[in-house]
Amino acid sequence: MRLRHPLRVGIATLAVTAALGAASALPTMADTSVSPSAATSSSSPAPSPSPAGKVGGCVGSPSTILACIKSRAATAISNRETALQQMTTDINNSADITSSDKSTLLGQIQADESGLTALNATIQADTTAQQAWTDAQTIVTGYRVYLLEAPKVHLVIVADTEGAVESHISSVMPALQTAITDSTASAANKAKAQTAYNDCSSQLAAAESASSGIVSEVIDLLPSGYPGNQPTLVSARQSAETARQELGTCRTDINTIRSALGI
Amino acid sequence: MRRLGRLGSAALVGPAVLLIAACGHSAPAPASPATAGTAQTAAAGGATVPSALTATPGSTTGSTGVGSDQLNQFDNQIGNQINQIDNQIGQANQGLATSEGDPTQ
Repeated sequence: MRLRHPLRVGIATLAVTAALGAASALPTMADTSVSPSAATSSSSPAPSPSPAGKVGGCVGSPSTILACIKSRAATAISNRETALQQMTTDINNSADITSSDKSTLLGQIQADESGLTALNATIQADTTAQQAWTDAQTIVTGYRVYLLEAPKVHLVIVADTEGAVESHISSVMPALQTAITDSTASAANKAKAQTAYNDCSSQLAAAESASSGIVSEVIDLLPSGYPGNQPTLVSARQSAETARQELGTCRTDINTIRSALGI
Repeated sequence: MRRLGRLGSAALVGPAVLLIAACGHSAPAPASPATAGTAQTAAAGGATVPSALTATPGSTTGSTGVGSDQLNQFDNQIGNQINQIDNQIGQANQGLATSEGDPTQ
């Protein structure tokens, strides 16, 4: 008999160890998800935590664990709502996001906020630790606020801003070409300016090519598609960075033109 | 639609700028030229561009008719937009880096 009790405790401890890390991460930035079965994968027939049990980072009696899970879930949801509000602010503060993309993203964020609010109500009404734990997983898997929504929102803002810069530069290119053609600067300086102009034209076209598909690639990505759709975000990020570099080079080219022509 | 809108804006603004710049080269500067601060044309996405790259008081134009003040303003606007791009890419990177903690990866 002396061996059985420690053994039972040991099994129970092993059974909840995997869940422990994830529950500890619930209120943090990490969207670490753990299978709900982890909390009950023990050989123990008991479906609920043992009296000295542990679910996630919560320890104690079943009622204590339930209260702990509810508290952690509420914090995790609050943190995500704060992140969503910051995304809303970023969208509203962007001067270059298109009205269509703005409307789409704000709608998605509003849906997430409403869903998380309802989910919190569900969790707070749960009567067992197991059910609360299962529902708490949805905070991560149902929304992917940090891993999917945040990168998506920022990449759409980036792509739209790059599009605005491209239009901005395009609008002055004809005048710059006229300035080069009509300049009284030396032939060498005119040639230098023309070379810079040609490079800027190429960079601009490449930037437009890189940035043009970003929004359509990412704006409708869903949490249910994660992690399968994560490479799409990575690819879009790469395209955004490529366009950013090309636009920066084009800006430098324009300043080279100005320097060569003395304008 | 998004691209079409931008192209449309550029198509309208570009020729206008070219035409006005050409006029600025072949004719004397207007007696009361619009300054960079007052001659703004809305560009796609809320940005502004000089409505006419013509000589402005106090700016260096050479023989081109392209005002340095307006080009300075143009450069500042591009710089601000690129800064925002850098900031937003940085924030996107935070979320993408967090994915390393996902056990399904």
